[in-house]
Amino acid sequence: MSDTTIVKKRVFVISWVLLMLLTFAMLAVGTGTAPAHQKNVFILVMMLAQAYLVAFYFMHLRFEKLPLIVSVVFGILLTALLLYGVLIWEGTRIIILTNP
Amino acid sequence: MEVTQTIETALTQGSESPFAPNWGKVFMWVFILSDGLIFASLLAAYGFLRFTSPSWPNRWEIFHPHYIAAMTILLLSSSTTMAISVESLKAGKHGMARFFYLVTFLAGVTFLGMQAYEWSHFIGEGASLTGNPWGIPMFSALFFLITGFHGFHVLSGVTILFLVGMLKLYDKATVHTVEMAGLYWSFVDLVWVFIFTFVYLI
Repeated sequence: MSDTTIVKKRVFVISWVLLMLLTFAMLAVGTGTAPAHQKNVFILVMMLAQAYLVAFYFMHLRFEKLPLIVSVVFGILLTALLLYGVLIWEGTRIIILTNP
Repeated sequence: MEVTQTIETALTQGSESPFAPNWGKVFMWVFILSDGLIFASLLAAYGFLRFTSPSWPNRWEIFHPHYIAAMTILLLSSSTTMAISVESLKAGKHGMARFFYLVTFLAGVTFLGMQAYEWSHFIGEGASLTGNPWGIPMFSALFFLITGFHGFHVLSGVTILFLVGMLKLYDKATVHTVEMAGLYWSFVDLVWVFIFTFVYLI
Protein backbone atom coordinates (compact mmCIF):
# COMPACT_ATOMS: atom_id res chain seq x y z
CA MET A 1 0.00 0.00 0.00
CA SER A 2 1.26 3.41 -0.50
CA ASP A 3 2.34 4.02 3.04
CA THR A 4 -0.22 6.69 3.83
CA THR A 5 -3.34 4.89 2.55
CA ILE A 6 -5.70 3.62 5.22
CA VAL A 7 -8.09 0.89 4.13
CA LYS A 8 -11.52 0.81 5.76
CA LYS A 9 -12.31 -2.12 8.06
CA ARG A 10 -15.41 -2.84 5.96
CA VAL A 11 -13.19 -3.86 3.02
CA PHE A 12 -11.53 -6.57 5.14
CA VAL A 13 -14.83 -7.78 6.58
CA ILE A 14 -16.33 -8.16 3.08
CA SER A 15 -13.17 -10.00 1.94
CA TRP A 16 -13.44 -12.30 4.95
CA VAL A 17 -17.11 -13.10 4.23
CA LEU A 18 -16.24 -13.91 0.61
CA LEU A 19 -13.33 -16.09 1.74
CA MET A 20 -15.60 -18.03 4.07
CA LEU A 21 -18.18 -18.57 1.32
CA LEU A 22 -15.45 -19.75 -1.05
CA THR A 23 -14.04 -22.13 1.57
CA PHE A 24 -17.45 -23.71 2.21
CA ALA A 25 -18.10 -23.99 -1.53
CA MET A 26 -14.72 -25.64 -2.10
CA LEU A 27 -15.30 -28.07 0.73
CA ALA A 28 -18.79 -28.96 -0.47
CA VAL A 29 -17.54 -29.61 -3.99
CA GLY A 30 -14.35 -31.37 -2.83
CA THR A 31 -16.24 -33.87 -0.68
CA GLY A 32 -19.12 -34.19 -3.17
CA THR A 33 -19.75 -36.77 -5.86
CA ALA A 34 -19.36 -34.70 -9.06
CA PRO A 35 -16.98 -36.00 -11.78
CA ALA A 36 -13.32 -35.38 -10.84
CA HIS A 37 -12.45 -33.04 -13.72
CA GLN A 38 -15.49 -30.83 -13.05
CA LYS A 39 -14.69 -30.73 -9.36
CA ASN A 40 -11.07 -29.85 -10.02
CA VAL A 41 -11.86 -26.98 -12.39
CA PHE A 42 -14.36 -25.51 -9.92
CA ILE A 43 -11.99 -25.85 -6.97
CA LEU A 44 -9.08 -24.31 -8.90
CA VAL A 45 -11.18 -21.28 -9.88
CA MET A 46 -12.30 -20.87 -6.25
CA MET A 47 -8.68 -21.21 -5.09
CA LEU A 48 -7.56 -18.43 -7.46
CA ALA A 49 -10.38 -16.21 -6.17
CA GLN A 50 -9.24 -16.86 -2.59
CA ALA A 51 -5.60 -16.17 -3.49
CA TYR A 52 -6.66 -12.92 -5.18
CA LEU A 53 -8.54 -11.75 -2.08
CA VAL A 54 -5.66 -12.57 0.27
CA ALA A 55 -2.90 -11.09 -1.93
CA PHE A 56 -4.75 -8.01 -3.17
CA TYR A 57 -6.58 -7.01 0.01
CA PHE A 58 -4.89 -8.55 3.07
CA MET A 59 -1.41 -8.12 1.60
CA HIS A 60 -2.52 -4.70 0.31
CA LEU A 61 -1.31 -5.33 -3.24
CA ARG A 62 -4.50 -3.71 -4.55
CA PHE A 63 -3.42 -0.39 -3.06
CA GLU A 64 0.23 -0.50 -4.14
CA LYS A 65 1.79 1.33 -7.07
CA LEU A 66 1.52 -0.38 -10.46
CA PRO A 67 5.26 -1.27 -10.84
CA LEU A 68 5.13 -3.29 -7.61
CA ILE A 69 1.87 -5.04 -8.57
CA VAL A 70 3.26 -5.96 -11.99
CA SER A 71 6.56 -7.16 -10.52
CA VAL A 72 4.83 -9.36 -7.95
CA VAL A 73 2.07 -10.79 -10.14
CA PHE A 74 4.14 -11.41 -13.27
CA GLY A 75 7.28 -12.27 -11.30
CA ILE A 76 5.64 -15.09 -9.44
CA LEU A 77 3.26 -16.20 -12.20
CA LEU A 78 5.88 -16.43 -14.95
CA THR A 79 8.47 -18.07 -12.72
CA ALA A 80 5.96 -20.57 -11.33
CA LEU A 81 4.70 -21.42 -14.83
CA LEU A 82 8.27 -21.91 -16.03
CA LEU A 83 9.00 -24.05 -13.00
CA TYR A 84 5.90 -26.20 -13.53
CA GLY A 85 6.54 -26.43 -17.28
CA VAL A 86 10.18 -27.47 -16.96
CA LEU A 87 9.52 -29.88 -14.11
CA ILE A 88 6.62 -31.62 -15.82
CA TRP A 89 8.37 -31.78 -19.21
CA GLU A 90 11.64 -33.05 -17.71
CA GLY A 91 9.87 -35.49 -15.38
CA THR A 92 7.77 -36.95 -18.20
CA ARG A 93 10.89 -37.32 -20.35
CA ILE A 94 12.69 -39.22 -17.59
CA ILE A 95 9.72 -41.57 -17.16
CA ILE A 96 9.59 -42.25 -20.91
CA LEU A 97 13.36 -42.85 -21.04
CA THR A 98 13.34 -45.22 -18.06
CA ASN A 99 10.20 -47.11 -19.18
CA PRO A 100 10.61 -47.52 -22.95
CA MET B 1 18.80 25.11 -10.45
CA GLU B 2 16.09 23.41 -8.42
CA VAL B 3 16.28 20.28 -10.59
CA THR B 4 20.04 20.09 -10.18
CA GLN B 5 19.64 20.40 -6.45
CA THR B 6 17.00 17.63 -6.39
CA ILE B 7 19.27 15.31 -8.37
CA GLU B 8 22.19 16.12 -6.09
CA THR B 9 20.05 15.42 -3.02
CA ALA B 10 18.89 12.14 -4.58
CA LEU B 11 22.47 11.09 -5.34
CA THR B 12 23.91 12.01 -2.00
CA GLN B 13 21.06 11.23 0.38
CA GLY B 14 19.24 8.48 -1.49
CA SER B 15 15.82 8.86 -3.03
CA GLU B 16 12.40 7.30 -2.92
CA SER B 17 12.11 3.70 -4.09
CA PRO B 18 10.81 3.40 -7.68
CA PHE B 19 8.10 1.14 -6.25
CA ALA B 20 6.90 3.98 -3.97
CA PRO B 21 6.72 2.05 -0.68
CA ASN B 22 9.75 2.02 1.57
CA TRP B 23 12.64 -0.28 0.77
CA GLY B 24 11.83 -2.54 3.71
CA LYS B 25 8.49 -3.41 2.16
CA VAL B 26 9.97 -3.95 -1.30
CA PHE B 27 12.54 -6.35 0.12
CA MET B 28 9.85 -8.15 2.13
CA TRP B 29 8.06 -8.68 -1.19
CA VAL B 30 11.29 -9.99 -2.76
CA PHE B 31 11.61 -12.44 0.15
CA ILE B 32 7.94 -13.47 -0.20
CA LEU B 33 8.35 -14.10 -3.92
CA SER B 34 11.44 -16.27 -3.46
CA ASP B 35 9.83 -18.16 -0.57
CA GLY B 36 6.67 -18.54 -2.64
CA LEU B 37 8.68 -20.17 -5.39
CA ILE B 38 9.99 -22.79 -2.94
CA PHE B 39 6.38 -23.67 -2.13
CA ALA B 40 5.53 -23.62 -5.84
CA SER B 41 8.30 -26.13 -6.56
CA LEU B 42 7.15 -28.36 -3.68
CA LEU B 43 3.58 -28.32 -4.97
CA ALA B 44 4.81 -28.90 -8.54
CA ALA B 45 6.74 -31.94 -7.31
CA TYR B 46 3.62 -33.12 -5.44
CA GLY B 47 1.49 -32.74 -8.58
CA PHE B 48 3.97 -34.53 -10.77
CA LEU B 49 4.54 -37.46 -8.41
CA ARG B 50 0.84 -37.79 -7.76
CA PHE B 51 -0.21 -37.87 -11.39
CA THR B 52 2.53 -40.34 -12.32
CA SER B 53 1.48 -42.60 -9.46
CA PRO B 54 -0.96 -45.38 -10.49
CA SER B 55 -3.25 -44.59 -7.54
CA TRP B 56 -3.54 -42.11 -4.70
CA PRO B 57 -5.30 -42.48 -1.33
CA ASN B 58 -8.67 -40.82 -0.80
CA ARG B 59 -7.78 -38.02 1.64
CA TRP B 60 -11.26 -37.90 3.19
CA GLU B 61 -10.85 -41.46 4.42
CA ILE B 62 -7.75 -40.29 6.33
CA PHE B 63 -8.43 -36.67 7.33
CA HIS B 64 -11.62 -35.19 8.67
CA PRO B 65 -12.92 -32.55 6.19
CA HIS B 66 -14.47 -30.36 8.89
CA TYR B 67 -11.25 -30.32 10.86
CA ILE B 68 -9.22 -29.20 7.84
CA ALA B 69 -11.91 -26.61 7.01
CA ALA B 70 -11.68 -25.30 10.59
CA MET B 71 -7.90 -24.91 10.20
CA THR B 72 -8.45 -23.01 6.94
CA ILE B 73 -11.11 -20.75 8.45
CA LEU B 74 -8.86 -20.04 11.41
CA LEU B 75 -5.91 -19.00 9.24
CA LEU B 76 -8.03 -16.91 6.85
CA SER B 77 -9.67 -15.18 9.81
CA SER B 78 -6.28 -14.47 11.39
CA SER B 79 -5.19 -12.71 8.18
CA THR B 80 -8.31 -10.56 8.41
CA THR B 81 -7.64 -9.60 12.01
CA MET B 82 -3.99 -8.86 11.19
CA ALA B 83 -4.98 -6.56 8.32
CA ILE B 84 -7.50 -4.76 10.57
CA SER B 85 -4.82 -4.44 13.26
CA VAL B 86 -2.35 -2.79 10.85
CA GLU B 87 -4.96 -0.39 9.50
CA SER B 88 -6.15 0.49 13.03
CA LEU B 89 -2.56 1.26 14.00
CA LYS B 90 -2.17 3.52 10.97
CA ALA B 91 -5.38 5.31 11.95
CA GLY B 92 -4.05 5.80 15.47
CA LYS B 93 -6.61 3.46 17.08
CA HIS B 94 -4.10 1.74 19.35
CA GLY B 95 -6.58 -0.17 21.53
CA MET B 96 -8.27 -1.79 18.56
CA ALA B 97 -4.92 -2.52 16.92
CA ARG B 98 -3.68 -4.27 20.06
CA PHE B 99 -6.87 -6.35 20.38
CA PHE B 100 -6.82 -7.62 16.78
CA TYR B 101 -3.06 -8.23 16.96
CA LEU B 102 -3.56 -10.42 20.01
CA VAL B 103 -6.41 -12.31 18.30
CA THR B 104 -4.09 -12.95 15.30
CA PHE B 105 -1.36 -14.26 17.56
CA LEU B 106 -3.75 -16.58 19.42
CA ALA B 107 -5.20 -17.85 16.13
CA GLY B 108 -1.67 -18.66 14.95
CA VAL B 109 -0.88 -20.60 18.11
CA THR B 110 -4.21 -22.47 17.84
CA PHE B 111 -3.47 -23.37 14.20
CA LEU B 112 -0.11 -24.82 15.26
CA GLY B 113 -1.83 -26.87 17.95
CA MET B 114 -4.39 -28.16 15.45
CA GLN B 115 -1.65 -29.10 13.01
CA ALA B 116 0.25 -30.94 15.74
CA TYR B 117 -2.93 -32.90 16.55
CA GLU B 118 -3.48 -33.69 12.86
CA TRP B 119 0.10 -34.94 12.52
CA SER B 120 -0.19 -37.10 15.66
CA HIS B 121 -3.43 -38.59 14.32
CA PHE B 122 -1.76 -39.28 10.94
CA ILE B 123 1.34 -40.81 12.56
CA GLY B 124 -0.93 -42.84 14.85
CA GLU B 125 -2.48 -44.43 11.77
CA GLY B 126 0.97 -45.65 10.73
CA ALA B 127 2.17 -42.89 8.40
CA SER B 128 5.85 -41.97 8.30
CA LEU B 129 8.35 -40.38 5.91
CA THR B 130 9.19 -43.77 4.43
CA GLY B 131 5.85 -45.57 4.35
CA ASN B 132 2.15 -45.71 5.25
CA PRO B 133 -0.71 -48.22 5.41
CA TRP B 134 -2.15 -46.97 2.09
CA GLY B 135 0.76 -48.43 0.12
CA ILE B 136 2.06 -45.25 -1.53
CA PRO B 137 5.11 -44.06 0.48
CA MET B 138 5.29 -40.80 -1.51
CA PHE B 139 1.88 -39.77 -0.18
CA SER B 140 2.92 -39.45 3.46
CA ALA B 141 6.44 -38.23 2.62
CA LEU B 142 5.05 -35.33 0.55
CA PHE B 143 2.36 -34.63 3.12
CA PHE B 144 4.91 -34.29 5.93
CA LEU B 145 7.30 -32.27 3.76
CA ILE B 146 4.74 -29.74 2.50
CA THR B 147 2.63 -29.29 5.63
CA GLY B 148 5.79 -29.42 7.78
CA PHE B 149 7.45 -26.67 5.75
CA HIS B 150 4.29 -24.61 6.01
CA GLY B 151 4.01 -25.34 9.73
CA PHE B 152 7.57 -24.08 10.14
CA HIS B 153 6.49 -20.83 8.47
CA VAL B 154 3.50 -20.54 10.81
CA LEU B 155 5.85 -21.08 13.77
CA SER B 156 8.18 -18.38 12.39
CA GLY B 157 5.17 -16.11 11.88
CA VAL B 158 3.96 -16.61 15.45
CA THR B 159 7.50 -15.92 16.74
CA ILE B 160 7.73 -12.75 14.61
CA LEU B 161 4.30 -11.62 15.85
CA PHE B 162 5.41 -12.19 19.44
CA LEU B 163 8.70 -10.31 19.01
CA VAL B 164 7.16 -7.39 17.10
CA GLY B 165 4.33 -7.24 19.66
CA MET B 166 6.85 -7.02 22.47
CA LEU B 167 8.85 -4.32 20.66
CA LYS B 168 5.69 -2.33 19.96
CA LEU B 169 4.65 -2.60 23.58
CA TYR B 170 7.87 -0.81 24.56
CA ASP B 171 7.57 1.65 21.63
CA LYS B 172 10.58 0.14 19.86
CA ALA B 173 8.67 -0.87 16.72
CA THR B 174 7.18 1.44 14.09
CA VAL B 175 3.96 1.01 12.12
CA HIS B 176 6.13 -0.24 9.23
CA THR B 177 7.55 -3.03 11.39
CA VAL B 178 4.03 -4.20 12.27
CA GLU B 179 3.05 -3.92 8.60
CA MET B 180 6.00 -6.14 7.58
CA ALA B 181 4.92 -8.73 10.17
CA GLY B 182 1.38 -8.54 8.75
CA LEU B 183 2.63 -9.00 5.21
CA TYR B 184 4.52 -12.14 6.21
CA TRP B 185 1.53 -13.48 8.14
CA SER B 186 -0.81 -13.03 5.15
CA PHE B 187 1.75 -14.78 2.96
CA VAL B 188 1.63 -17.80 5.27
CA ASP B 189 -2.15 -17.74 4.86
CA LEU B 190 -1.86 -17.41 1.07
CA VAL B 191 0.33 -20.51 0.90
CA TRP B 192 -2.20 -22.45 2.98
CA VAL B 193 -4.90 -21.67 0.36
CA PHE B 194 -2.80 -23.59 -2.19
CA ILE B 195 -1.95 -26.43 0.22
CA PHE B 196 -5.62 -26.79 1.20
CA THR B 197 -6.52 -27.10 -2.47
CA PHE B 198 -3.77 -29.36 -3.81
CA VAL B 199 -3.00 -31.59 -0.83
CA TYR B 200 -6.52 -32.03 0.59
CA LEU B 201 -9.19 -31.15 -1.97
CA ILE B 202 -8.02 -32.15 -5.43
